[in-house]
Amino acid sequence: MVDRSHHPAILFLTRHWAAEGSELAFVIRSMAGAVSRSRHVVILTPGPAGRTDHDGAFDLVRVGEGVCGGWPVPSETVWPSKVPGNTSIVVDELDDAAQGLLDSREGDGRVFSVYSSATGGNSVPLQFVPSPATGDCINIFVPVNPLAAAHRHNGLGFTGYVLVLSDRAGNITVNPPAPTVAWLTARFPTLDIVVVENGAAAAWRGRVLRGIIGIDTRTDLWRLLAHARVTIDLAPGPIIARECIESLLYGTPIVVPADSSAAAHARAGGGLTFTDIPGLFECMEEVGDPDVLSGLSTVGRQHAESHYGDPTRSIASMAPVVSG
Amino acid sequence: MTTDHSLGDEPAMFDRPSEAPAPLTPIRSGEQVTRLHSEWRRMESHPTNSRFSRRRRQLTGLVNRALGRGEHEFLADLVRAIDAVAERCDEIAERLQNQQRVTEQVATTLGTEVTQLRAALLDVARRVAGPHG
Repeated sequence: MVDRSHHPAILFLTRHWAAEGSELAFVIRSMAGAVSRSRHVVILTPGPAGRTDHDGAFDLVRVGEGVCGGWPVPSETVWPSKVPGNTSIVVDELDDAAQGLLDSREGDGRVFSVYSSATGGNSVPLQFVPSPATGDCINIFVPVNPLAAAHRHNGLGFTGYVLVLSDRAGNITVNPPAPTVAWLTARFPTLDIVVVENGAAAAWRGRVLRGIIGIDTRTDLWRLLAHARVTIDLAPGPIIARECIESLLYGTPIVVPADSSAAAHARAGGGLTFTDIPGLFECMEEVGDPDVLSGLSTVGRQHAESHYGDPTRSIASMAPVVSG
Repeated sequence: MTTDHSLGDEPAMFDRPSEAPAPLTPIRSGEQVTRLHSEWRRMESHPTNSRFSRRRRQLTGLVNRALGRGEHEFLADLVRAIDAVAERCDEIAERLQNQQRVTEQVATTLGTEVTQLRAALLDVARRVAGPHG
């Protein structure tokens, strides 16, 4: 049991804690869990001031509520009374509203941001994908179920397909598919292309929709990732590209936009990047070579396992925050 | 399926698969026609002589004679007609299979080449337009 009584607490200022399916929520929860191994963690979220709700291992302290469930204005914010002014703070999304709150708080504690869109302030942006120069980053632990690799998804009668994680959201129809998918199935008519969007997977081949299956659980998605020959993520998560890491952990290489957070994983050896449709075609031709695919699979899995597959390393990588 | 495309529009999808399905099984050499021939040969060589069969043949013969043709001749014509229909069905099935193979090859080859060409043109158009185009 770690004795945390002699160490100052760490504040987590989080607006996305309960956001379902949000990568920010996944990252901030993982960080809080890892930091809690060595420090007392206080989770501050928007909500009726003074109220505390329990959520698993943590108590959520409500500090007041702004419009649409956002942060309150600084004058109406209720900070916890027993937390010293020099306490370090981790913010999930540092926007102007969050920056306003921090500016109004007395104290000189360091501020770390997971994702920042604020103008001004002197927060320290945290790096979650390996830096090209040093390879250092915060190692978020990304869990996957290894058993998903043992059995393919029940709804698909084949493996070795190209899995596309779509960039479309909201009220969309499966047919016609996302534009990028239409280009892919027209250019590679003999490839089975499985497109994941809106909780379902649509199988395309030769420009024709062959069937739709449901994705009810995370395990269903893991099975699809584990049995694909390559995963194309058209809209990777903005912080760590979680699904790309999961794909790499199963040994499935990735093809991702060059300007996305996932590009770091691809450049680390786990896949290829593209900027436009011709570039995507080149990537697909390249991964058509079994030797290239095998190399990407091996290096990508090593990259994912070393940076995101070890909970002990994840806790150790929180050092910049806990010592800040 | 839309046909009015500009260069940057994504390719249109198909309503039905373009690949050739498995060939239809031949009818003429199939089980049903073969059985018909066997049965016809057996009747030719060993006509049934039971009382009931004799009576039945006599009655049918009377009817057919009234219609101007014999039962035996009628059955022979029927078998030949079935043979001819089966042969034509097999010919049509073979032609359809060839046509489906051509459709598959055209859809796959031309579809792939046109898509590749459009993507290359798109790339050229973007380069010509420059970063602010």
